[in-house]
Amino acid sequence: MNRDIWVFAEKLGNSPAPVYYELVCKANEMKQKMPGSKVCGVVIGKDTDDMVRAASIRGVDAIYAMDHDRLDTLDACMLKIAFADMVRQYDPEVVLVGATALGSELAPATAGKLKTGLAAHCVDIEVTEERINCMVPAFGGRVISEIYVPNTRPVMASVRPGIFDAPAEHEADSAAEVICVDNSIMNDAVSPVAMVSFVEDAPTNDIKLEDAEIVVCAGRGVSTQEAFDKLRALADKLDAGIGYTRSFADTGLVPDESNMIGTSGKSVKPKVFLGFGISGAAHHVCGMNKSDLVITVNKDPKAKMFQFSDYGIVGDAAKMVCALLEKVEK
Amino acid sequence: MRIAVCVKSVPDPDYYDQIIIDPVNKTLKRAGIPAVINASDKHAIEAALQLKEKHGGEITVISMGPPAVEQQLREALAMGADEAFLLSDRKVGGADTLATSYALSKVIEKTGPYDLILAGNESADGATSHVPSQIGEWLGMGSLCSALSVDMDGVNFIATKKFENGTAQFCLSSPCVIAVNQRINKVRLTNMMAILKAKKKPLTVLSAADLPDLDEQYIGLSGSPTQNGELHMVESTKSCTMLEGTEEETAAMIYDKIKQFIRE
Ligand SMILES: Cc1cc2nc3c(=O)[nH]c(=O)nc-3n(C[C@H](O)[C@H](O)[C@H](O)COP(=O)(O)OP(=O)(O)OC[C@H]3O[C@@H](n4cnc5c(N)ncnc54)[C@H](O)[C@@H]3O)c2cc1C
Ligand SMILES: Cc1cc2nc3c(=O)[nH]c(=O)nc-3n(C[C@H](O)[C@H](O)[C@H](O)COP(=O)(O)OP(=O)(O)OC[C@H]3O[C@@H](n4cnc5c(N)ncnc54)[C@H](O)[C@@H]3O)c2cc1C
Repeated sequence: MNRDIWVFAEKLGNSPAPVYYELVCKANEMKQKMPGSKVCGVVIGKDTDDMVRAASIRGVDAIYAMDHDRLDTLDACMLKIAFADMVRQYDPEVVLVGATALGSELAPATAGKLKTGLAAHCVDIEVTEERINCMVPAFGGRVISEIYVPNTRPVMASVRPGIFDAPAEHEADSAAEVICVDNSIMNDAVSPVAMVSFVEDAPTNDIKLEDAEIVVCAGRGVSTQEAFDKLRALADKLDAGIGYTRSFADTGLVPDESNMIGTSGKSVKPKVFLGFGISGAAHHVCGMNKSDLVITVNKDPKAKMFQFSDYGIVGDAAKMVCALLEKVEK
Repeated sequence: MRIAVCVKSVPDPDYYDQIIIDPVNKTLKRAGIPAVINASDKHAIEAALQLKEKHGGEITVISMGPPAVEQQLREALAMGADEAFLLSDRKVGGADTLATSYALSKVIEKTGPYDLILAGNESADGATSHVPSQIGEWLGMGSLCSALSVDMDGVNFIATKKFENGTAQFCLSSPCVIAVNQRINKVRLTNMMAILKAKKKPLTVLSAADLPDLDEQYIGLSGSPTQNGELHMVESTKSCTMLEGTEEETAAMIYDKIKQFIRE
């Protein structure tokens, strides 16, 4: 039985989603403790040559690719047929999937097909003598449970983007062996789901929240358009990414939850996190508590958010944003 | 049209900061935390109500959990669901998501057929988001998670989902499983009349023995491929220094700290 570690390489635009590089890094750490194992990228799609090349980075020993016309879709019900079949053909010990919009659906669907265990949204994975321990947060991140999969193969684990570190640059490595996986299962594969259309988002100039050194985060205490405009201006001056809480998103000042920070949103670990009007709920804190320096403003001196901060200011969020903007502009 | 909505009873998330791990037996201490309907499941019920208003039909809510979950199911009936089923049996307890979705799929088989199965996208406590697509797998139905809209188009369901770089529309043939994103709708308020009426609506408690062809190897703790090891608490390691002064003074202090830190 091989001990290989597979990492799903999701196609985002023309290259693997960033979480792929983070998982490859983690997989190499695990490999040290799993003698004889290989770290393998998994590419599933149509016309996969470019993706195979992009996924062949240093630290990846092999790429398993399944190519078929029917795999040109974001329908997890179609993709799981391919993914599960690849696993059945090659029997890896571990399968890691980034918990992106697609990954968080494909992972449980595939685990369901394989009737194996999937550890959800792991914040760490430890290889011990006896087992592979996946650290899974629950109750909004208040508690972390060790989850392991004793009797079935493979151990599947999903990980949110931004949890593990990846080097800033990935070295291309053509030494990775490429295995074109038999795709005959797809010839008569049917899915009850059809992707009808895909509308790409308009490009924005905003700094990507995950990459920002400084994150400015709005909570419900920032409740007016005017205050949020000022906060945007502040973020702009500081070259900061803008995030928010769910309660802030609920005010309707942003169109969706795409830059929400927390268990259901993104995980960030900037050098500086500036939070305004955030209560400090476990579901939110879980997505920001790896930040280096945390400074928060809340009108309530007893706000829980202060427990997760290095510096706190009791005051009005909108007024503090304005005062800070003035300082920065000077 | 018959719609099933999967509803989970969860400890109220407003109290999660009070959860502690018993230092002696290493189990979660969450006694005293009230149970509520999982927030995202309320949006699933609301989506079902809107579909019913538009296309007609009947709504059945389904849950697995201890007998006390009847209370949350009554609440779901007060929101407008027509009938409720609760699977309550020690045999199905301690289940991971694969075992939970298997048991729920059996309840769906037993009480169906349905045209559509709705679920929330994630629970407040476990929050794996696994259960809906795994129900789809067990039942051999199509599934979609995190739907931002759901509508019926003849015999199919149309739903949209946001990805990192865009939005896709999917067409799912009926019957199918759709888990809704919380942003799909605003949940209506229930009134006193509805609460009174809900008391008379049918609520059936099922045990494992009531389910057709239940394969015991897939249920409960022993049927779960994942197992729980040790539990750890996440505590803050920070100690907070409060900055005092006028807004201008504190703003200056913050800005200095930021500059210092970024330079390092
Ligand atoms: C399953 C689940 C998943 C979730 N996922 C997420 C997630 O990913 N991200 C997330 O953020 N939340 C998430 N939540 C919601 C989370 O539990 C909290 O409800 C949310 O984080 C609260 O946001 P908030 O702090 O902005 O709002 P509130 O809790 O309403 O707090 C507002 C704070 O602002 C302060 N305030 C008010 N006015 C002012 C003012 N003028 N000046 C200064 N301070 C002011 C108040 O004192 C208060 O502390 C989730 C919940 C569940 C159940
Ligand atoms: C600390 C901890 C960690 C865990 N980690 C894992 C893990 O990594 N992998 C794993 O497989 N299991 C894990 N579990 C077990 C998992 O939480 C349970 O199986 C749970 O019953 C279902 O999963 P969920 O709450 O995550 O549901 P989700 O999949 O997040 O729920 C989505 C939707 O499914 C429906 N639903 C879910 N449960 C029910 C129900 N009982 N009745 C009716 N509808 C329901 C609801 O509509 C809900 O909104 C963990 C449990 C704990 C306590």
